[in-house]
Amino acid sequence: MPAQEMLSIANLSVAFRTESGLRPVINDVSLALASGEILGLVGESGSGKTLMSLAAMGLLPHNAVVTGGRVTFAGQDLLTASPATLRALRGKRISMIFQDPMASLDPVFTCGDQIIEAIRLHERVSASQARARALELLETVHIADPARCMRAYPHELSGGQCQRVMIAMAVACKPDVIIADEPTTALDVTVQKQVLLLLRSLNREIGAAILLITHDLGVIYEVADRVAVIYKGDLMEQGSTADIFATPQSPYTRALIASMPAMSAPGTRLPVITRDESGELRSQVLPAPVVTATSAERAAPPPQAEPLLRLEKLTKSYRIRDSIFSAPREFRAVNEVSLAIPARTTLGLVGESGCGKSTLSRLVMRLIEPDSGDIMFDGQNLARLDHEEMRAARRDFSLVFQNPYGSLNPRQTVADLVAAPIDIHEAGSNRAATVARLLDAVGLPRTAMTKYPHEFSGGQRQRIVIARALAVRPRLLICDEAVSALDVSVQAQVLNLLQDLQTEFDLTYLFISHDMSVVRHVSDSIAVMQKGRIVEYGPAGEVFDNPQNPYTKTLLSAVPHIGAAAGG
Amino acid sequence: MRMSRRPGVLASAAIVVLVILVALIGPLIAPHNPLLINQNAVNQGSSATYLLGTDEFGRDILSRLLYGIRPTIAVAALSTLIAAIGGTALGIVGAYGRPAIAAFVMRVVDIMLSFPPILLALLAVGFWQSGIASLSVVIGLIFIPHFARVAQSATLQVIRQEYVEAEHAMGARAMRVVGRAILPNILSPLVVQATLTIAAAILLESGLSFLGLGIIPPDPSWGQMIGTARGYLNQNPMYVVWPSLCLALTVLAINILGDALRDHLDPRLRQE
Amino acid sequence: MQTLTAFAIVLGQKLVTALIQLWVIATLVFSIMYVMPGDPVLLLLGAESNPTPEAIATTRHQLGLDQPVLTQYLKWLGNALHGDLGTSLNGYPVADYIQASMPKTIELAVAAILVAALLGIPLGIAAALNRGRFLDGFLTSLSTVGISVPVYILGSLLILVFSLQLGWLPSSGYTDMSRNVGLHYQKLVLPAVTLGLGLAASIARMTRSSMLEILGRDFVRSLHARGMRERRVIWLHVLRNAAIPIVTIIGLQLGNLMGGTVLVEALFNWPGISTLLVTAVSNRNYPLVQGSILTIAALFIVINLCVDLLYSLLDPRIRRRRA
Repeated sequence: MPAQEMLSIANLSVAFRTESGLRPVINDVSLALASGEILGLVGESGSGKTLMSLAAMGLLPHNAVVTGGRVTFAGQDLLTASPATLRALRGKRISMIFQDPMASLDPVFTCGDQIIEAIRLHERVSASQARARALELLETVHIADPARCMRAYPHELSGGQCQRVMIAMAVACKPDVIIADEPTTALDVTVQKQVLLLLRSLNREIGAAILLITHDLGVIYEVADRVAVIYKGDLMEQGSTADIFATPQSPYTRALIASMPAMSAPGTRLPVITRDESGELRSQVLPAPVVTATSAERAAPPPQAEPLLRLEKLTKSYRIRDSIFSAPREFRAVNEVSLAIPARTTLGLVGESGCGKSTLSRLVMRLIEPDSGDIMFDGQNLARLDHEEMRAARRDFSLVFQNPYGSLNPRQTVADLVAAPIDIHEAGSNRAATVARLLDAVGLPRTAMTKYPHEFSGGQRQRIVIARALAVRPRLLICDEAVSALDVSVQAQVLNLLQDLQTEFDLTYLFISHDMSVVRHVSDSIAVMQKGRIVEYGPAGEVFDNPQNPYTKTLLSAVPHIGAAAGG
Repeated sequence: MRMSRRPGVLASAAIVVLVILVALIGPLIAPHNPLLINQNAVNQGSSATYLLGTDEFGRDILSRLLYGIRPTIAVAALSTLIAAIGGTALGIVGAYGRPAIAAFVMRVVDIMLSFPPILLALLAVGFWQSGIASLSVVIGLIFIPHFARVAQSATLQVIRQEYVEAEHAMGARAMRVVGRAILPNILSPLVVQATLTIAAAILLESGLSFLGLGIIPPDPSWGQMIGTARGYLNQNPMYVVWPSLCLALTVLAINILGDALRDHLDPRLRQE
Repeated sequence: MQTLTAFAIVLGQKLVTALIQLWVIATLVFSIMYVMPGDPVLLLLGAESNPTPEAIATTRHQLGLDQPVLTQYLKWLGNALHGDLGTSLNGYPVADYIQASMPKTIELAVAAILVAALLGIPLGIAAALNRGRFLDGFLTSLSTVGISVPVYILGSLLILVFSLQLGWLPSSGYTDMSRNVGLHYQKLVLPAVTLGLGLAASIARMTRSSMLEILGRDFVRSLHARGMRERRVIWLHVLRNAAIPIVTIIGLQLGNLMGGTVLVEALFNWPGISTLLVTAVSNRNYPLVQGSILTIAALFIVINLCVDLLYSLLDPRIRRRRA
């Protein structure tokens, strides 16, 4: 069957209207989506990929202006089509799936009513016919209990279920084109896998072409037939998925693929994207910065003596009510967790959202009080310390958070932020010199000192957080999803930095993440957490290559593998 | 849009500055003694001697306006100060204090909020001698729960932020967390609330004076002048217009400034 | 079924809270007698007449003021529960005064709310839909004026224009329905409009900002992406969502409304409960002050309760917690 061109974007340029004139965000991009195919559009944050999808639906925000090009669908230019024409197409022949499924549903109507409404917007059917169709659709998208889902309000469903409802609505009128903007980003890995498979099978069944927009190369690799790579509003290249991953043509694509932790051997330095003098992008492995004298003296980790941190049957439960009329029941967020981290090694803790991994990290520092269990740190039981002793003991730990935007007080300068632990534990002694040294260590210029957090990018902010974490020479660094919010190229830089610092500052890491490939890359040993329990625990290689627990196997199989095809 | 570019905001700022200035130097520029009774010139319209006319005792309305601003401004400023300090402290305790104390504080605040302010004020000033000091304390106390609500909800938002958790993780004491992390970050809504409270305090003080329960005659105040003028709507309609105009413009200017401040300080609105 | 049970429980919780509030307020009101200056007995007998100590003691006994405070408190509370709010200093039952004035205040308040909602909500919607254009700027400025002008100034101006200059409406007073229906409503217009306009301004502002907040949500974009008409998006989905904060705001504004009645009743000589209270305060008629404060507070709590329930009916996230 010859593929027919469904949606074509020709020489599209879009700019944002700002106070200082037009700021271009998409420059002369051309793309074509053929019937029945899945085209993956990959780009990092700020690449303009979401704006492309909105332009394709004629849904550009008010401050965006099309400065050139056409978006053609069924012989119509969608950029100039009348509202009535667009309305007739939207939802009927082109439909869209958004990133945040919960927010994309109207909170005050039931899911059933919303699907019925979506059907009746475009088809003259009776309410009862539409209801039957809606139920059918919910079965098509494999939702657990379609009848209950019909009656449920969005807040009563999980994120994965909401996304299935959104997909049901998107396919309700058998559209020719589905535009999916980061449809799985807000979901857990295992759910992500299911949703991707669902999209793939719907693509086969109803023959709708899918434009899949994502930052995640793994997702693209999993489902896309063809890939287009976009960088800062410029189209870098497009081609078949196999070709792109095997022989990427543009330096950016090469660099992007190489930056993925899964592409490098565990524990090695990751290649990062750099620009040479001519402004050309390239990927290269930069050597670690010159190691300072103090750390050169340091010997290799001593043969496993007493671990630095040992958790013994640590437990925390909450009393929750399922609904306002049921009796409260006990919910064990962390259930008898025992772990040990040898000094100067990294323990990777993986699990999906709600498994208790963040609670565990807070328990270790007693930001949340444990119900029972011991926290042995360097021979001292932290769980037995009183309030003031614990406060003083915190100088030996640091926490690096997921969100570099939220973990820095917006009203403090970088110098004050980085010096905070010094102010707290050492009454600010030798403040300026230490801050300068720390900024050097994390690769930030000293001029950063007088600036405020909002003047930095996400990756730079995470460097500030790390500099602060190291200020009073802690021994244990707890990284809670520390690189999850970062683009893959920035993630590579931060992972390299963490590795360098481990040697230089003699650090022990508890590295918490939902991302198997990142955990594999940085960890010496791995613990898998599910529903508050550690279900598998062992050396990283063993857990990864020879998982014993069924849940670990599910997690691993859900991770998109860019294996042999790319040939790293 | 920068706030200074809006003409209404500039005019409002000018009015507020003028009002403060008059409150400070009013007695120096007043053409007459505001208490001086002239039985020969009762309820007169504008004239060369009495620019804005005279009241029911033949006193100069302009002079009474220039003097009458002082109790209003003093009460508004003092009561807002009391409300801001008390309310912010209570609000922070209500969000960041020990759970039992916080719950108790907010319950008390809720009960206080369930009374209309003017009823509380009425009760208080109805039974005690009213004067600038007592009015300020009463009105300040009345607005404490409003301030506490704003401070509490802002603090709740702030302490959910990871940078507050980061402070705890670093081993910071509660005072440092409040001083460095919470206060600077709840300042914007508090400043906005302060402007709104100034306006509300002016309305409340003048309302009480209007009812004859605020500033005691013969000392002038705007609200009280309006209350008196109500009885002479037929004889001297302009008598009610002048103080009304002054009061309405002042409150309007403060509210416009408050709105502009809110737009300016709210990063979500600023992006627009 | 499940919804009904959940709702019944919410109702129960709110009722208990309201009762506790009422009890606290009743206790505070009772204590007015003891914290406020001035001896009520002297006030009753008239301090100028230099009453003999015997006369004072007798009256004190008659009023029950010689009993222990706790006994007085329990007795007062028990009586209040039965609707007996004591005796005014001039000898008539407080409950009679309240019965006479309360309906007049409620009538005024209801009329004002009608004016406010019918004016404020449509204007707020119009401003939101014309965001950034002239109409939005105009309505927003108008509403700022509306919330800034004190009710008694607005009222005075309305009297000046509509009754003194144009002579369309009576300037003040109250005529009973049984005497003259037409005049009754004529006299209601100015106070209700005066009270309603300020409220309309704040309702318009809140409606506008709630609408804008909802218009910016993700689901609105996805409704458009489904090919829904702008009209349906706004009038069905956006308005239905915005109704939740709007109702809350109207509820919260009722406090200001009750405050506003104090001034409006005074300005228009409207013989409602606020007038009663102001007079009672001026005369230091303690039992009357207690009775009217308690009634106003009770009314206020009942209104808040209704708003709370309406709110939880409108919002499925409160009506049905996650099962």
